[in-house]
Amino acid sequence: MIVELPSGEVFAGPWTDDPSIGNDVVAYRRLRSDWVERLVEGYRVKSAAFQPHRESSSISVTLADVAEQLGLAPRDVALGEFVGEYGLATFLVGDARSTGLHVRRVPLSVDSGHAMLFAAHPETGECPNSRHCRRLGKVLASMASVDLAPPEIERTEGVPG
Amino acid sequence: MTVAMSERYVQPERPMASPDTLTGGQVFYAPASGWLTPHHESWAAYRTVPVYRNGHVEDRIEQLAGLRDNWDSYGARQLDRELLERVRSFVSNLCRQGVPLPSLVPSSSGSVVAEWRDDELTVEIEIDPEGGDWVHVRRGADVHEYEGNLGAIAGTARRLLEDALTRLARTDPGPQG
Repeated sequence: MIVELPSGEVFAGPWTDDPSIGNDVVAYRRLRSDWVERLVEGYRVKSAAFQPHRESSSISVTLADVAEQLGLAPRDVALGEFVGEYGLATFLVGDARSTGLHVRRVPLSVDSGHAMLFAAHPETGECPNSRHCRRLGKVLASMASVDLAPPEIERTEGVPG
Repeated sequence: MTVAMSERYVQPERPMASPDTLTGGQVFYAPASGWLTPHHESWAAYRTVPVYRNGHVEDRIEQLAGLRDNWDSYGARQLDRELLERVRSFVSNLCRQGVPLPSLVPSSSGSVVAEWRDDELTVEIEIDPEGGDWVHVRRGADVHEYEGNLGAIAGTARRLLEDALTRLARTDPGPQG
């Protein structure tokens, strides 16, 4: 499967986990304000934050190790041009793998640490499988923590998300 | 039908999310004694949703409709208008039966998640543009999930969802003031 990424770049696979990425590598995903609930103490990442992109059937994240090797601040690289608009969720690559998700580096011109999380169908092995990725993404959301709260979060009571 | 804002909030005896509620169709009302056939005169007395509550649903739907391509910063497309209409109809029907407003959250896959949480109960209903809806009910340590078209939900999954929504309706204090 060949997918065109939002940046206009193309990823043609392989759709397999890259074992050279360590389980201890920190990963970030940008958070909209309505993807986060403010709790009495701290925040909760909502399951909607970790749903696969409709076209690529994968979840985009930024791996911190690339930025660190370049001497850059991983959070700055993960936020890119969206500083002040989005927050950041964080988790370890090992967390994602523990749910069954695969991880593969897909560097973009705008994000050299960009990686994709995707899933194989549990029975057929077909990969990427959007439906299974949805399910695993919900699990990963429950494991992720808020590293940087997005602006304008409201306590979630009713429709405002 | 317009309901005056001053209308008193009346907690239904036993509101139930009916099969037709799930498909956005006719609203039923089920008292403790059992299901009634569609009977507007009966359930109309229990209408509990002042206009301003539904107004929030409309406002949120319009917010979601206003999201442009790349709204998630990862290239997500604008949400489908038919999907949003389905969400609006679904949530409005639940609200008319006393179920409190959920949060409505867009996802990069093009779906919208309706979410209710309290100390004991979590209900998430993901409404998907291609009909691959997803229901998650967590009560304490018990987790139940259903995947498929919401309109076709049946059996145990349906009963669990109805029970959860009924509980939410019972615990909703209603509009304040």
